[in-house]
Amino acid sequence: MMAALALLPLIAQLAHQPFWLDLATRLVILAMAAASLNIILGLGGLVSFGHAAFLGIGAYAVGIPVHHSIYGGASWLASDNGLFHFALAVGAGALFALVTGALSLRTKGVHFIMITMAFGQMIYYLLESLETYGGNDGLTLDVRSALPGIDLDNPAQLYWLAFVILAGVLVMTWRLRDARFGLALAGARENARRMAALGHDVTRIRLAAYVLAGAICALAGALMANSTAFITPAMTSWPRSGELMFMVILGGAGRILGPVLGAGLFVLLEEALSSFTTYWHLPFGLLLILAALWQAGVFTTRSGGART
Amino acid sequence: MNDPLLRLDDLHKSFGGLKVSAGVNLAVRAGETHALIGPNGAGKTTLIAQIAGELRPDAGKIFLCGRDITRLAAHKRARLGLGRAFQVTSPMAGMTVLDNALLAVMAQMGSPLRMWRPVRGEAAMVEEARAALARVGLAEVEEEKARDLSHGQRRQLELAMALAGRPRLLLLDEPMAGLGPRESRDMVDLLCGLKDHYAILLVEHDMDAVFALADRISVLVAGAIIATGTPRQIRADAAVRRAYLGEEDTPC
Amino acid sequence: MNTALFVTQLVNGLQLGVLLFLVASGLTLVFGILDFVNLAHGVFYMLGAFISASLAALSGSWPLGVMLALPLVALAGAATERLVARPLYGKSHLAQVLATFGLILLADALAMLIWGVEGRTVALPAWLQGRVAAGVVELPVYRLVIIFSGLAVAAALYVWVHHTRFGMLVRAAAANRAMAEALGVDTARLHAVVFILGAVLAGLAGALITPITEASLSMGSDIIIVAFVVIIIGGTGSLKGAFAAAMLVGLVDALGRAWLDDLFKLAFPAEIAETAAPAISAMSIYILMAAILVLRPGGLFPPRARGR
Repeated sequence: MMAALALLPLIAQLAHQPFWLDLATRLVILAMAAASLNIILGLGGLVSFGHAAFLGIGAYAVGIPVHHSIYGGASWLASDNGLFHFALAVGAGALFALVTGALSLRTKGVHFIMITMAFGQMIYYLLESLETYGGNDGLTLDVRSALPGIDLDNPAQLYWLAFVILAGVLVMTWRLRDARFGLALAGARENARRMAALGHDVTRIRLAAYVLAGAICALAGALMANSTAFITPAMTSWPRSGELMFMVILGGAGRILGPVLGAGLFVLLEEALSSFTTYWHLPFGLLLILAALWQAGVFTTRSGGART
Repeated sequence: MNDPLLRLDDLHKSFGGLKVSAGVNLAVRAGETHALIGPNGAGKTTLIAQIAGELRPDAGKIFLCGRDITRLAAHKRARLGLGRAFQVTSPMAGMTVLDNALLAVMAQMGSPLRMWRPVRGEAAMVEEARAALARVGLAEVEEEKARDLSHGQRRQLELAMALAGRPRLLLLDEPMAGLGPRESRDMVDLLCGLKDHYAILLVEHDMDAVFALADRISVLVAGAIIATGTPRQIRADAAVRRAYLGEEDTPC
Repeated sequence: MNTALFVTQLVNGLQLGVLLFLVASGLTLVFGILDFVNLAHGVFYMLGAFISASLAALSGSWPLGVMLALPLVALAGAATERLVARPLYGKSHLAQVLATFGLILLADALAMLIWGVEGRTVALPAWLQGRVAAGVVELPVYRLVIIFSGLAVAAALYVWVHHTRFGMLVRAAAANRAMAEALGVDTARLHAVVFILGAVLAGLAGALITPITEASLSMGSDIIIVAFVVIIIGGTGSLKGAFAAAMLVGLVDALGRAWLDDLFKLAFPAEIAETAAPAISAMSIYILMAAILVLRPGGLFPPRARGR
């Protein structure tokens, strides 16, 4: 699967289908965001519903410095240096994850879901209120991030960069799953109370995962801003978080390559269904409901059934 | 040196109007196996939860090795040497027996935030986890999922996990509960082998086991300790017989 | 700051609070009693708005439209409970999140199919359009009607929950699920009643707000997060908490929007105040939520120890 993805720019060029490359770039970036969610949701078992906020944070970490570099103001922030953008995205994502994670992780279950959602929406309203950066209408990036040796205005180079980072994220997920950290996360997922009795600081373990995931997702957001060259607060609205969650689950929560599979299916589904009908959310929503009922074992076991 | 390993100093806890701990005083000495018995509803479970750090007492203090741990979080108490085996066996059900033991060892061995090196490659840790499993007789099933173990095996795993943390004090919450006669006998033998190496606070309903294992016994009735003494003293204690043994024939 | 503006904003805040209470009250019971994450609760809010607007247009009478809309929303609630929610009671939160998220997409697409992407406005009858003098200001009659009808519903709910046998069972179940089951409550019926009641209350809120704003596709997704914030602040399963928190959130939001600007100008240079004030006021209720989480992780009225 990864090999096919690696060759995609060549295939797209041979087939004279530049649109394929757009689609593949979107897939790769979404897969990266989903892979970061997979660390907390899949490995850690924490149903976090505000993950799209990090995409927005990463995107505006590119958009805001670029905006100032062109239109002046806030000289300390103004820059078109891609390394600065990416560092800012990762730092801001990690910081936001640290603060909101520390608060959200004081709770569990239903509360955790609602709180992550609320903090995600907070970012949405925050970005919407920033009139300087276009408010609700969003921001057009007049230039892309400048990187040494890589030209992000070239779609194929942007794709390669995203692809390499995605591969790095996947390798990292794979390594950490089998390392102490992954074992501890899995233990906390299975039985947090027992983990505490063993002497594990469950909150710290989960917070570390949350921060890591936030940083990675913000990086994906920075790439997304470069890919679309247009960013809006809508990137962070909570249905976007739901879609990321859908990708993780569809691909198999906790599986290393699951997010890639899930993002692939999502992008294809979106393309196929939306070309078929403008009401593509109708079959998509129905599919989600059926998938959830199926996942919960409603169709296989008559009563009771196993809890997960 | 005469400081007891664990000391409860006038613990009080109530839920609404209900007093579940009404001034509990208890000391577990180094090296001893101390049994805590009492009728249902005497407040044993809430007392254990307070010792382990899952419940805060309303008043009173808890000392571990002379250190005040009353306000310490559960995981910090565990790191100070409080090893706990739960009443309702609750290992991480979806994980293998070895992974469960590894988690127990890991809690005592530095940071869990290592993200690169596979845990199975950390020889010292794996060795220690395997040793803990071997001690309770689970070496054969280390790659099985915890949920696939028999009830008795799960109890053994609980114990192995408590041991793997190299505890100074073992907190055993009804290790015999739900075991058949044969499994019970095995468990008593296992605990007999441990009692020379660890201080144990044993909460147990099975009087045969209690009188076979305990060096001292404390009796908890209605949230307070009404007597502490050797098994012989407790058996002879009139107040205990009245309150707890119900004037029936002494067990065993 | 003048008194007239203060009174006006106070009324706006109370009105928002009342609507939030109507949406959050049913939701908090569903969370507390069923431990069920219903992201789709906002759908009933939206349905209440659209159906009442359509029926008002058909019948020529807005009050009649609202009266007729509520049974239809109840029907939608019953169908949702039976087909999607009930099979997922006691299942993983993840499955519940996924299914109810799918339900939102499905419902939004259906609403778009039926009513189109444009919003629906509705005209109030003449007798509701006036203004009344209240000291220094004139207040719109209709806003006062919303506030008083909301308070009436809150009072009725209070009586129902505290002075009827069924209400007692609801309270018992919200405080301790296992206990209620042990008491031999007909849980299936209790669950259905609570779910449908919650749907109707949300529908009522949607119907009430329509003459002021309009019925729109995004209204459900917008209010649901704020309802979550209300529940988190109030404490899951507590009607009292939902009421207190709804009023608090309504007032903080309305007053924050009006005065943060002035407040900031006292403390900061004008240009900073101009950017920061809208940003902070956009986030004010989330900051309030964060503060409550730090001080009282269980909310203002935390649930008693739950069964299991």
